Amino acid sequence: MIGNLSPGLILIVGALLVPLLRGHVRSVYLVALPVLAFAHLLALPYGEFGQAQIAGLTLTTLRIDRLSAVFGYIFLIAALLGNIYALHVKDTLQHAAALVYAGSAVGAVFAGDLVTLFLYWEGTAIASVFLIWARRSLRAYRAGMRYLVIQVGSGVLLLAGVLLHYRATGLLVFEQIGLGSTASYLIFLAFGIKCAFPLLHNWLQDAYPEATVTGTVILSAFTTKLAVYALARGFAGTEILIPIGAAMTAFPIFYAVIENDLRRVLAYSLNNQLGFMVVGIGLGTELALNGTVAHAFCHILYKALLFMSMGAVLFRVGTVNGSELGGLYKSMPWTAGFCIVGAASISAFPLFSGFVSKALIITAAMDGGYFWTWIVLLFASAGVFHHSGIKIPYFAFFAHDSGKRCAEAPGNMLTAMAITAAQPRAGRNGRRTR
Amino acid sequence: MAHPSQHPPQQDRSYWLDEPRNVDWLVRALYAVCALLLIGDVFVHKHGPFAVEHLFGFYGVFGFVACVGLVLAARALRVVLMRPEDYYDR
Repeated sequence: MIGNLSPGLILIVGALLVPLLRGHVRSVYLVALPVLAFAHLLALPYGEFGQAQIAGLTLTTLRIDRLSAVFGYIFLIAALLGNIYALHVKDTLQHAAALVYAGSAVGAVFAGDLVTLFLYWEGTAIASVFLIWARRSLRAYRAGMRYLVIQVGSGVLLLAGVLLHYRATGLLVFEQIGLGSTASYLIFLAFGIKCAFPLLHNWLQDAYPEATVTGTVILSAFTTKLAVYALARGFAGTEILIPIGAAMTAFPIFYAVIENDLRRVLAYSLNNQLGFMVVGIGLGTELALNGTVAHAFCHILYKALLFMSMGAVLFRVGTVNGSELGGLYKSMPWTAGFCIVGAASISAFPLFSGFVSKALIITAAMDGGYFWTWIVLLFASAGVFHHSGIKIPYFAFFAHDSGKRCAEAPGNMLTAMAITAAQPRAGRNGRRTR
Repeated sequence: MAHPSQHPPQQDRSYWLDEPRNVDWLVRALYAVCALLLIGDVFVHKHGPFAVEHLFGFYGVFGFVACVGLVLAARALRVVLMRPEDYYDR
């Protein structure tokens, strides 16, 4: 029985115990739960498990193959790192929401059929909004509402697409879909919203920077990469994704250059990095898909690291507006160092992880003879270096000294940043994926 | 909400980067690395399919032009794109 249990359910069911625990016991529990789920995943062989009969439909709640396993691993690693980063938080709501959210994302990745995918898809939407509302301000409440409407909208489109798909084919298995029928367009649109396609992207930059210090770190890992997984599973080699992805890499960087809230700058650059993955899925070659999965893996780590460092600044100083910061390396040298590691990774600096994974996708575009896509990806790489590689660490930690003095980030935040920083630097994370 | 430290650092001490001489030194070192990389471009064998890639210094020039162009373009776009920070709260 336990063998049929999705690793995601360990986190979701485990979240129920969080309100009953306090102090060190809770801390140990929050670290142990993702580790337990990870160990469970490692012990599972490739294959399909957890078949359930509901209303005459056969659901496959657990499908483990090379593609889903990689996303499962990185989601559980992100959940562990996010929990360590948030250990100082006393707010039970945030811990429980983070676990249910991460568990739903893991469950969705291992969904073998479209109904299971839909259920977990909505789970990520509903659980994650509490990480925004947990800031308990009117501004955050409104941002959360806007976010929730769009996320649930994506779920409704997915459900409509799944129903039409089932009516037409009689199948619910989640495999390559490809564009063609009305159902496929609805599912594509649902994935596109969660992946923040151009013109469907606004929820991301709107809501993520309004979440709590730790909430933004958690949010950055799951929703959009779940969409990347879903696109890779259902729409690999769909050529329209190439121009969509290329536009995604380019347009957010203009916004990022003029944005003052540094966590919002990171949200724009998150959108830009997703573009690389979408291009890779559109190219659909083995090199491109390997690059996409590797880039998703590395990106989750270095983006979390950057959000962690800016979260630490927000926690200590009370603002992440570039215009109000500067000279913080004097007060927070470790945080500054970890931020620079994240900045080097996202900028694809040699020996850092982005260098490997981004190069895989760009090379795949070259191999396919996509000249203008290649030019746009190069431009976007220069742009991300400019606003995430230079702007973020420069305005927060260097620039002119704002005179602000504070303590270094708390020990648990530094620990989470140190572990995360050690991984992007290894630079080989994604090489053997898929 | 800010959580200031219970133990604010005592005297502000002088840091290595506070000295303008050291900053100048860093900037010159950066220029030197850039120059070396540009020279190195002659010796690197490139095997990409696109002709422009084989031009001397293509990647360096492209990166520079892209970054400068990006900032200039973004500055111009400010008029169109910029919204007040309380845009949704009105």
